[in-house]
Amino acid sequence: MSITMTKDDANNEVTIVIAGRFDFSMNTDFRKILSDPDSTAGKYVIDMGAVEDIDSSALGMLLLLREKAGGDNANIVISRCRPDIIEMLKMANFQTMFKIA
Amino acid sequence: MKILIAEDSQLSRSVLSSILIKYDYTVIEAENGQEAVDKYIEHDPDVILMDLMMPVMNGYVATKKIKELAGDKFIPIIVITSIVETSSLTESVESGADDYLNKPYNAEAIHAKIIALSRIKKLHDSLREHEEKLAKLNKQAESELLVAEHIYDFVLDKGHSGLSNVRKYMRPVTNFNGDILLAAHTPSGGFNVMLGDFTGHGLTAAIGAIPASDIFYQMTAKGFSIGDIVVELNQRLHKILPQNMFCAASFIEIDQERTTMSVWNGSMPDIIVTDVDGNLINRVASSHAALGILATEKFDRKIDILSLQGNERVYMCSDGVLDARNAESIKYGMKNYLALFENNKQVPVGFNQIVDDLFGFAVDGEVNDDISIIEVNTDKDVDAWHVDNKDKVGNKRITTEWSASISFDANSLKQTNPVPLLLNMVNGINVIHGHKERLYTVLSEFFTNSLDHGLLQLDSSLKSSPEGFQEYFTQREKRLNELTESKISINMEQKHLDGGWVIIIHVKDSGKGFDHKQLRKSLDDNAGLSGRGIELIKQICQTVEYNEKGNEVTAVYSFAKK
Repeated sequence: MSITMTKDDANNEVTIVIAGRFDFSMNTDFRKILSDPDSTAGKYVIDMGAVEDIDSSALGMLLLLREKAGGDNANIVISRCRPDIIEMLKMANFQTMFKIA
Repeated sequence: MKILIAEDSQLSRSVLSSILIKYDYTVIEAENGQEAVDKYIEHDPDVILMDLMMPVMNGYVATKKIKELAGDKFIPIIVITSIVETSSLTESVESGADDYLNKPYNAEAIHAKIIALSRIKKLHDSLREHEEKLAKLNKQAESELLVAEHIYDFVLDKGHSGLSNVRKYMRPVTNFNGDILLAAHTPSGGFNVMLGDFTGHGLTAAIGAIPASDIFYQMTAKGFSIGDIVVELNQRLHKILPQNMFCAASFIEIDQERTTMSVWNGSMPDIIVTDVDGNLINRVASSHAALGILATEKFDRKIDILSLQGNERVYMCSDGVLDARNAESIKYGMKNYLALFENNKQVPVGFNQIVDDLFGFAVDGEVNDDISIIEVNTDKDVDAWHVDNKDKVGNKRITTEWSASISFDANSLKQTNPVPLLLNMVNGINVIHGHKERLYTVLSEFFTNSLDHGLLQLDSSLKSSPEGFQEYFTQREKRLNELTESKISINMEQKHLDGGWVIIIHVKDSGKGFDHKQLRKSLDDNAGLSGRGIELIKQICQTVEYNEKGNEVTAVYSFAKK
């Protein structure tokens, strides 16, 4: 279970890599990243390749990030999700609010 | 730091005292055990040095008394012994002493012991402080849970309790549920059901549940359709809930005649419709974001309308069902849930089998989320409310006769979609709550047919593939831009007919007409790419008739039957 952030200043892009169960236990770490001034960027990539499971608080965290990234104008790509996680994101209609790659 | 010395020998006291003063301790002196107890109460020292053999009250008794008085608080007591008295060490520790010092006094040793013991005391004090804080928080959380539970019980109680056609299984993961079930009849005898799943449990969930249930019940009682209700709920929850919180919800609205069901599914598992034998007829997957996420202008109220026979079972569940895990930590999932409704089952599935199957699966596993399973029976005869109120339905409304016509030329067709406009007009003229979505569906379908097929001559078979679907809309845009000399006229008339009330909808276009028989797709295509089709309109309306040429359609929509 981990969450790490890297920033590509040249492209003004932040990548957040999440692994394990993406649930309420990550809330504190995720919020820490959100409040880090370094985490402000024009584009976000959430790498969920190593995420085993998500719950509704994870969806909530993604919504918080979306708000920080400019709400309707946010440029966020959720990448490398497993099929069952894509299914859950789609059930929540997140494909209309995020780019799911 | 304050040190209390209990020692009957004047000389010993002075020696000890001067050592301690040298190390900057404040010294309090007592000449016997009783005085030590009194001065402990009076001065609340940090460490006590206690001689054992003293008049009036000896050191053992004084140690015991002080430890009793201190209760949970840690007061380090060091007993002072001579070598010859070592046998009494056990007794003094049993009385509550924490350490001992041998006479004659060694300044370094005394100082070291005081430092060591006061360190333990500090640790003990901070532990105790944390424990107290935690206990207080626990108590607070418990009482808040009780309040929330009360609110929830109260909120939920007025809902489904009277509905004989709704069965529920709701199992909360904490003291009470973050899921809510709201169900009530509309004034015209139909009924609305909402199953909601708030993020979180406890008070956080209750914050949203109160306004949600108020809005649901008030609007249902006034006859608003679920389309109107979801818009209002979304707006309110968007306003009051923090950004990371929302309410996944599924809604169904079943009309008084049990011929159609409107469905809105926002982030909930598929809504399942089975026939009376438990065979799957239809399912509606989520196609919307949960309530409370999107601003009103981004929010999509679009509902699906399904036709009913009046003997179906409708199943709704929360995602706790899909998240339940077995011993190998495998999720129950949509696959197992849907498998229940497979049509080749020997034994038809019912409410009890669904619950049994789920808990059979998760018997040695874990359930981390609230679980709710709802069954709605569309049969009028099991709806006690309907049986009791049969005669009253439809008679309360004061209805008037009116008619309205509106027509659109090529220019206005390019610029506006007149259907919402028309509907607002209808709502303004007369209160027909509870019928808005159906009328919207009828008008949209007719208007789209007139425009797309009548005027623009588009081929709907194009829409059978995703590529063709795209092509269809490219063509549509192109032809619409080139459109000249065209007209669509819509006439609506509300009137009293055969003791009931109807709205007659007449739509005519200036096109060459189209093969409307082609459009009569079965409802099985409902979820496909080609839209809802005329067949659905025939379910909603009493009659639907095209003229031979296919450029004129008349439908009779009945909303208050005798």
